[in-house]
Amino acid sequence: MHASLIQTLGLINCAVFQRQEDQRFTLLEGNHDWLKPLFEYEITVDTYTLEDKSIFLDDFMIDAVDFWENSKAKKSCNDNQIKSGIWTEITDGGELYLEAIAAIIDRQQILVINNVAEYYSQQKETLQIARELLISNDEIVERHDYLSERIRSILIETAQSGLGLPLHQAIKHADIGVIITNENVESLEINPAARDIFDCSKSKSEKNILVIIESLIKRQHHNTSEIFNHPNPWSGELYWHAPPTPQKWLKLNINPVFNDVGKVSYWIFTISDITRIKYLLQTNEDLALHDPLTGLPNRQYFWQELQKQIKKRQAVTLLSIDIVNFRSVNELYGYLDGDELLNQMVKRTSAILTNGDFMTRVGADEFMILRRRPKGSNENEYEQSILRLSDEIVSMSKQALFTKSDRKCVLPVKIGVSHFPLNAINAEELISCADLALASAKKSMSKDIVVYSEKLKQASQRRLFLENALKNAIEQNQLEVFLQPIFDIESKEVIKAEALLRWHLNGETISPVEFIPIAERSDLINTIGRWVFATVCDIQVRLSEQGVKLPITVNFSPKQIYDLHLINFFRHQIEEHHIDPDLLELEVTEGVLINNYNKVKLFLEEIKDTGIHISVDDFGTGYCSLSYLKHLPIDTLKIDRSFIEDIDDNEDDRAIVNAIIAMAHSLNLSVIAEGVETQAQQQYLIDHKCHIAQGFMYGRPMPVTDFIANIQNNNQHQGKH
Amino acid sequence: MGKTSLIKQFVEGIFSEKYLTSIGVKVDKKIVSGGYTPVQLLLWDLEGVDRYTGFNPRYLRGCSGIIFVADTSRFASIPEVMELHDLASEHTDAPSILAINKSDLAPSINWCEDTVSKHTACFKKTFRTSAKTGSQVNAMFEAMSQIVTME
Repeated sequence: MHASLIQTLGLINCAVFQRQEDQRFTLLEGNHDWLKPLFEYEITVDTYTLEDKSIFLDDFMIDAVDFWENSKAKKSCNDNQIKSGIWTEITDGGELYLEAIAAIIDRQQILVINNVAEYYSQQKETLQIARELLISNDEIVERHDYLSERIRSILIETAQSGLGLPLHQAIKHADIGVIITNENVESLEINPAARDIFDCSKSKSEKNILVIIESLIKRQHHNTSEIFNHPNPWSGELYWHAPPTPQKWLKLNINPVFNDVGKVSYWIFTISDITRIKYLLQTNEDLALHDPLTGLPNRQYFWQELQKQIKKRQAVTLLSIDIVNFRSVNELYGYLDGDELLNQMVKRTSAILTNGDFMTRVGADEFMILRRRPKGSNENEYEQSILRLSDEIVSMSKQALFTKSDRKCVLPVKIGVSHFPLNAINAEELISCADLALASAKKSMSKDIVVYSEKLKQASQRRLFLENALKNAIEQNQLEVFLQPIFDIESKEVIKAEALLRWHLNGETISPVEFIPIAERSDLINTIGRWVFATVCDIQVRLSEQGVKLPITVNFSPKQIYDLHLINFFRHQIEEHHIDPDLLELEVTEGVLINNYNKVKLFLEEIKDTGIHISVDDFGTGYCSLSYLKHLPIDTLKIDRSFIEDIDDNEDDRAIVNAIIAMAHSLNLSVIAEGVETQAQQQYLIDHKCHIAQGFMYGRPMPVTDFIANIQNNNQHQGKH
Repeated sequence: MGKTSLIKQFVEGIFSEKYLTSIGVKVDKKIVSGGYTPVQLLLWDLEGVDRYTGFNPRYLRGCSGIIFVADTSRFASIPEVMELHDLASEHTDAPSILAINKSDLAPSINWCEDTVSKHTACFKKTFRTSAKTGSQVNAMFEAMSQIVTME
């Protein structure tokens, strides 16, 4: 587990700690020598406190604790970790270059201390050059400005006498190229540095240089008349390539000099060869602003680009893309193949992007695409183009990729879309809108693409509201267990009941369909699951006092499997209430059985040891194989209501129901049909030897008091006690 | 700008001519005992904010004071510092000092003292420091320790 955890985080030289309930930490992995001087003890004890070891780490732990305890309320579900950024720690053993990561993995609160020495030194080398070049660039700009200013002063001072000695002296030895022209941009002076840059000997026409410059400006920037007719200073970079002269990048400044009456009397051109700086800068920018694996722009570069567009008020669309379950791809194929598949996926997606689309890798398996809306484009056509792009990315992602060893793999994606300025006023908001849409797509079984809408925002706000309210629901007695009868069609007796949870909030009854997923996402499901079980035990005591002996089934959330002390809790409740565990049954869904088979098998066997029965709920909707059922300690299959609903006129549904009944009988399992509402459905079940049913036909879910009263009435009618 | 050099000069009394860019954060400590009460300064040396590294307001949490460092030899460092000052002000009310470093060098050819004067009002104090010669370095950190004690 630990190896896959480290792999999930993409780490190599790291120490992984698990945060315990008492806020101490257990070292799970990575007892490295470099860790000892940092924490000043031998890593031999069981749990540690990490406080007061590093000022930087202490500060990061404020965010980490907040993240572990409140992350669900703050972030969309694709953010399952936060990073501290790199810091340098001085220890007796020298300097350590570290990064801390707080993560939630399999519901465990994980702290990783990552030794990033290698990355640090690479980054340092890259940024060292890049920043030196930035400084060099600034120096060149300053020298251009200074020289222009000096020439301008001389030109103004000597306005009466014309160009003369002081000017010659000022520009003759300058290492920046200088050209001075009259108001009509006709060359008056040109210094040796300018001739060198353009590889012109004295004999060549000086006019030539101006012609080259003008044509470069025209081709690479805009019409020169825009510069010379509206006399403002101009600055830009030009690319010059005239074989056999080697290609050059030039920095050019053009400044007008005005006479007493405000008219241009001269133009000063200053020129530098910046080829070397340009080359090194570009090489380093590639390293500093791109993701080394895919070559795509990194998060920092993307953020700059997005802010630039928004500052310009350019309408843009953001596609937030997430590869579904990429973690399992890494686990299944290994890290190297995982990287290879990611590269193929990026290559494939990049091929359908248009010029100007900006794709970036923002996380291990998360990408973003920024598309600018063309000026003057039709709104509908533009929106259609976004949908076409999203559709194409999704459908392409469903086509197989192959690893180097020719193993087939599919990387399906989900996409969230948001628009600026329609949905957001700034870059941060635009990203969170796209993330919210993506989170919605990830939750949806049927939609791969979700476009952000106000409705989505309201739904998100309601989820947050309900999540907060749910924290107090038990304390404020807002939860209530209803019972729905399960009926023996032959004997016409209620033989079992299903416990169904209801939440009464400010006069509104919130459907479990709405609040159970919220509880599952926020860990409240463990508390609620335990409360329901304890309440069902209370109900059993009440039933027993009324002389009623009836098994009650309790729904079990897949998330509860991670509640490590749940089985002890069940045992304790059964003992405390003095009830027969035979009267309790857990309903697990098929999904629980498919994922984590070994863990589930062990868990269900322990449940069986307590004497509690197990049934499989919503059977037929998942992909549970016969061999799974054969090896798991299951007592009952409950046929999902969706098959019963159309049993009258859907041949496929009838075939599935028949198969499930036959399978249950052959495995010696009891079978219950859910959602029975009509006589015809009931008759079909009788004809096919399914005698136990549940549905509105036999009784809706009802408060416990009503349920007991109904049972007693029913018994009286049948002459029982 | 010389942020790391200023701290190194103050904490260790060392200066290196070689420009070494910083990555991430490094925390240093130094006790200043110039005033009535000794003050332990925890100095967070932050990587410069430029086109390669964004501004991270998280590092300002809990800070008692900020030293913004400009560079005498680069006049562009003044508007850059002011931009950072504005960004930081959105996240903290901590008092700040402006250090115009590299005072041992000739000012940039574009240096405009009038522009600098216009901005100094945003800071509690302004120092012309030289991490190389040590000029005004201790004075600046001691001033910071006094300011944070008073605040």
